[in-house]
Amino acid sequence: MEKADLATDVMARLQEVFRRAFFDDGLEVAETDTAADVDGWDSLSHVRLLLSIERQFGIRIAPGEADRLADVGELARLIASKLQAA
Amino acid sequence: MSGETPDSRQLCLMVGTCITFGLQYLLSMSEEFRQRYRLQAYRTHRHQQFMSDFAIGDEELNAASVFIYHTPGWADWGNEQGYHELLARVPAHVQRISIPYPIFPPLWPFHVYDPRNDAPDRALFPHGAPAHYPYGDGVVLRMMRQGLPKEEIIRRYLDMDVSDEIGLDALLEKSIEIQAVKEENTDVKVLDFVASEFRRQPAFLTMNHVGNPTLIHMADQILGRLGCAPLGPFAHRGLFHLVSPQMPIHPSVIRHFGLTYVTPESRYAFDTFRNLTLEEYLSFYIDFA
Repeated sequence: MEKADLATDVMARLQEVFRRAFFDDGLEVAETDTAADVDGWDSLSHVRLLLSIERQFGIRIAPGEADRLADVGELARLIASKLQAA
Repeated sequence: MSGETPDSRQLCLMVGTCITFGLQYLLSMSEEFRQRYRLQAYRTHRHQQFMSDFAIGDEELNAASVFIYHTPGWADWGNEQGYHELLARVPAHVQRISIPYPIFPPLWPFHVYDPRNDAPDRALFPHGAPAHYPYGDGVVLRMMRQGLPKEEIIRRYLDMDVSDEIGLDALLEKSIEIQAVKEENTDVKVLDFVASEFRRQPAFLTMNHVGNPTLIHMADQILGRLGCAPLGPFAHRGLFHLVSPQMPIHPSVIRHFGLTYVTPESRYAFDTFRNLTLEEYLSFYIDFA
């Protein structure tokens, strides 16, 4: 898959992961969203989000690896880079 | 001439989250500790700006003998940079004892931050304070968004199997993995204790509040580093929960992990006034708006 297509695909699948992780079928996340922009997302629910991402994408995110990311877009890029490396 | 005797004990500073309420009490239960140290605690809570809570001056830092603190990077401060700057100012002569900031989601797997807590016109608790439910429940909120009546939400919630929504063993495994990294460089460690005890003791009261057994485990390690004996039996048997609130645990979570210290009918000390079953808690929580 082309890099741009992969990024689009990851972002689309990430939408579903967020909806499932935060139990909200109507949740819409944008690449520029941070934890403060997403209802329900705090450091405690972050563990469940990481687990959901790992299961959805079949990748592993090390503790601390996703904590330094600025926004959802960076999270999507991290996932895409792991998928490409796999 | 003043009747006051100068306090000649060494100064022990402690900075941390609300779990330091419990640690402060436990350390002060040690007569050896009390005789040698006067304890000054600075604490904050999540979502607050760190430095506004912990403006500790150089004079106080220089006067200290011991500095107990969370390792940076994990404590969810509002101002991580400010925390690093504070730690850099701790003089070399001060004995540092680092403690972890543990969290344990598997017993409360549906936690989300509930934005209703931020509503300025939210309901009041019966004692007059603005209602505050720091541990939201995503599944309850989802059913509320669907417009289900309260009684139906409670019935469905109590009857559900949590494992249908989330892999509890995977969540436990991920939580342990994260905690292991958190405590790689701390002096005080809790992971082995929690992993071996959480099924038979309240190792945690909420997903980020350790219970008395874990607090005692932490306090004993601090006391050991200071050359003091561990706490006696009274600490293990004679204390109410040192940290509040205590969050109810879903019956299917109790079953899944085989928890032996609670049952589906157990009551939980939610605040100073209310000792609630899960069903009673849900009723209050759903009405909170």
